[in-house]
Amino acid sequence: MNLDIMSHGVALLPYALMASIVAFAIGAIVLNDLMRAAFCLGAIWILSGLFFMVLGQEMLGVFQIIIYAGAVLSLLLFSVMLTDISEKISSLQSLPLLGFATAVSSGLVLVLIKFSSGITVSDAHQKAFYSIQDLGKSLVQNYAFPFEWISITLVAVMVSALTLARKDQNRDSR
Amino acid sequence: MISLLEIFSEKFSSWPFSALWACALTAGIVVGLALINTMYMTLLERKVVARMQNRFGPNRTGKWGVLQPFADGLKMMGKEMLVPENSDKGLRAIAPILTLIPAVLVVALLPWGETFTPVLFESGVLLFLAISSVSVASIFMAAWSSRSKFSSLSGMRAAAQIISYEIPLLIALLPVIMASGSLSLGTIVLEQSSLWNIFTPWGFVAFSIFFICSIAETNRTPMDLPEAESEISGGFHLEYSSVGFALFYLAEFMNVFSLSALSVSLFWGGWQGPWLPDWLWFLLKTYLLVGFFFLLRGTLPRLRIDHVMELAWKFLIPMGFSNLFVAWFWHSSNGAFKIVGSFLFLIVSFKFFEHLNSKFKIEKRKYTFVD
Repeated sequence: MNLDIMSHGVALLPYALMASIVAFAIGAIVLNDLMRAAFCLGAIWILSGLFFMVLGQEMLGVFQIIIYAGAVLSLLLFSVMLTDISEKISSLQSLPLLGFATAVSSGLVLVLIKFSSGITVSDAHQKAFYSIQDLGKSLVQNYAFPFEWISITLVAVMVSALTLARKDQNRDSR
Repeated sequence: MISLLEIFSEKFSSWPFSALWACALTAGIVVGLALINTMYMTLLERKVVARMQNRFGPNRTGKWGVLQPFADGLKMMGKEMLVPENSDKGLRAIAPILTLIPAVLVVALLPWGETFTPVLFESGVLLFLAISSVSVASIFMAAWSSRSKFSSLSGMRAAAQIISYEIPLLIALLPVIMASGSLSLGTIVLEQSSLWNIFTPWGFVAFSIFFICSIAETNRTPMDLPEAESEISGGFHLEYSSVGFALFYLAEFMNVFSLSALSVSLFWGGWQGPWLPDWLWFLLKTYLLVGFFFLLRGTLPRLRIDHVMELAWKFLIPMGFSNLFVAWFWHSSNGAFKIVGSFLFLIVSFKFFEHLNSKFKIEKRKYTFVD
């Protein structure tokens, strides 16, 4: 975006986004309703995309939203809809587990604070130097092998999914 | 190019909280434009479909029925808001709002005129698609939280249909991005100053694929399977009444408008045109496409779900890839050779994919009559 929001005094926005991401992350773990947890995960992905955009990484934010909030979230919701959730998941309701999860996540946050103490949001807010040509060139030159490898893996996953989803004719005829 | 947000922030630069004033004014203009457009689109659709069915349409509220959208709005707000007892009340309440938000946001990215783009983004096309793709989650939310079998079926249909049609839609966009070398909507429009993309063979095919995908993405007839009244009684908004239903209705019309406007920017030269002001050209072209949506609604019967899915996966996606090749050929060759070659390749690939699909005989329906 051409207008520099950060310099116009809306410097609190990244922090508000960070706080919301943490809140939804806790929701995604703690909520018993699978669908609500999935929606919390979706909110995390959308807010992360916005966070990247606010930090000036526009392309990264857009791809984060398209791939995760658009495609992966839909697949996740679809699979939750087809899941039998008649049995209540009660493991997370137990207090010791919740306490353990809180302690671990608090520890991780403290480690993050310790190692990122010298970095400020304004440091991260650098103008991204990219163009479509640069992205395309680096994809086919520097990252050709991982790109092809991922595509082969994806094809293998798709074939596996088709095999799993195919009707078992022997079982049906019985 | 300069955006409305930048113009306002310069104008208010001496004011305290200038950025906030600029943002608020731009947001107000975007929301106002989106709402007024949508309200009168509902009236236009009713008028067009009425004329097709040899009726007059709404003509009692104000002259030619111009106040009908306001009357409809008031009537909707006066209705009782029914909430199913077993529904997930929280999710159910926010689903219509979350459906409307992306529909309004994308309006801000559209280049309405040379100096009338509310917000300029360098990767505007991708951002448009990113915001649009989020809407499927809110449809799911509405479908799931209603705790109704019809709504759940609709949610599954919507997810399957919208995800399937996202792929050919993106593939149809690639030749345009290749030709302009930019993801910015403003630059794409400016790149068409000598020749609109629709007048090239690859542009015509890409537009056709894009338009078919737009119909599926907006759940409009003949691909309104997620809403199909005769099968699932309205689907995901079956359990909604009053304002909730109105928000879904508004969002659907806003999506029709914004996808038509995106088509205009990508293929029809955007706001460019002689004599008339640029914003008027933009609106005229967009409403031409919107009118085509209405004509289809009044003309075509609903397709079957398997036909809709087959069209996306077995025809539109391979045709999109062929078109990508044709776009490369068009830009790398010259003279009559490129015109003849492009047309020839497109016709051959169209016939080839048609022939491949004709081998898959569609299963005949088995009717079971009631005794």
